Amino acid sequence: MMTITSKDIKSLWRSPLLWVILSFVSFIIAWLTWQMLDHYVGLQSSFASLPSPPNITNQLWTPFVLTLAKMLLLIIALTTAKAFAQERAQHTLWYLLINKQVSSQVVWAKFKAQWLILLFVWLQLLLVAALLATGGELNWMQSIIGLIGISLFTLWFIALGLLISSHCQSTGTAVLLSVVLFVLLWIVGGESVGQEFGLNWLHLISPVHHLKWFCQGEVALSSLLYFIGGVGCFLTLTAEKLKVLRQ
Amino acid sequence: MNQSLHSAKFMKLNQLCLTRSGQKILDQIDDVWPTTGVVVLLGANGAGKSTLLDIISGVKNADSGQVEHQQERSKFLMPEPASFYPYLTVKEQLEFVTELTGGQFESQQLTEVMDVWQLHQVAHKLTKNLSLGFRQRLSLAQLALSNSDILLLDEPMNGMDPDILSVFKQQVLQWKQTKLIVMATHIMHEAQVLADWVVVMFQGKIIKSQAYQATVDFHHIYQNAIDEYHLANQV
Repeated sequence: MMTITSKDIKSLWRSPLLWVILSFVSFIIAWLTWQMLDHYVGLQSSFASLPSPPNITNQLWTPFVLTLAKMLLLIIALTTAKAFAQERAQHTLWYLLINKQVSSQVVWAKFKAQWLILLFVWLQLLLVAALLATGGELNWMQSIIGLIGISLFTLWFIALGLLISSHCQSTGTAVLLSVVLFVLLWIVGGESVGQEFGLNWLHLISPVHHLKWFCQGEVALSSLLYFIGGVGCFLTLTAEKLKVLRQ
Repeated sequence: MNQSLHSAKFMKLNQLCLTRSGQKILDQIDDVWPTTGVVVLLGANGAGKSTLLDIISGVKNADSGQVEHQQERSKFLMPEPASFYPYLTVKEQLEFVTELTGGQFESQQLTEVMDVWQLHQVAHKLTKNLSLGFRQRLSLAQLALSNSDILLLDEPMNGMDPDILSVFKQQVLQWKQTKLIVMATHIMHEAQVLADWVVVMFQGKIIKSQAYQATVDFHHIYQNAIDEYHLANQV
């Protein structure tokens, strides 16, 4: 059986560029994690004198999840750009449009093909969680909620990446546009952005802000709605764009 | 003349119009074709042949008008140039087409089709590494595997070597017993051997559509149609 999903998975993971990027990202993440760990171990003696010393979940796990999320944006920009922009560039989009195939089904199939990125995310988290658990006491509940958060965060950006990809005719443009928009959304969620205005409303439109809540072990209904609603909205818009492409 | 042309089933093109950037690509296309046999579309570059094939296949939507069938019929397209997924092997590409067109995947049928088009030697080769000849064979093998009722072929004989052309003609003669094959081509002498119906297009319009009599050659039909059209428009 070679469905649109399995076709996309094969096309995606057979590309050497993706493996190069994944290796690069893994190396960077490992390097940063080692640095954080080394710094934390160096401060252990100072922590001993504090009445409530910082724990590894807040000091190591959460920054790790946020770093991974940042690096993920690069991978998602690359993989999602291929979904529609590459189909248009290599003139294979007609396979997905012939016989008036239902656009929403095509988009859903392509969305599913991107889920494999989650395996990369989970593998990284599992390795670091195992590493931290050997040397300290990790808050497993908070860690699992963080894992759910970064998974939703990944799906949200994948859906947005698919939407951007459907609007571009070349893969390069789609990657560039995705990276710019993703980084912008990350910056908007930064702590210092718009502080002078009191309540920072920009935070609420940034997925980073919602991810941070998850990392703190908080499952807010608004964050769940934000991620799930965002995915639904972006996929619907992508399906609508696909209909327009028939014109 | 093919008996199927006199059957009660038809495919109707009903007032199809398409305009892009102020230019009429298809202008009130109105015609009725049989549901089996070979319909050959003749016309100069830019006459609207490829666009008409895209609209019939469902890849493009017309601004107005519709393609009407007496019953739901599946379609498959052979575009020019042939395009495949570069990181799929030949076998995977064919499996994908089978799945896409809703057919039940049967390895026996796949083997048979690969036999006919001599694709076994490249079965596990990525499509991006295929030569032009094998790309044509793969494109034609896709048509066979699609199990579609309507096959839409855009310039299928361009650059075909004599061996593939011979197999292609045999296959078309076999397919046309049960399917409708719509073929846009400039290679008139080869197409007229296969044709049951001929359509001449000019500037987005169908200016002639008739059952094909083997006694008259395509070149003559085409030239007459163009001359008559010019004469009618002068008056």
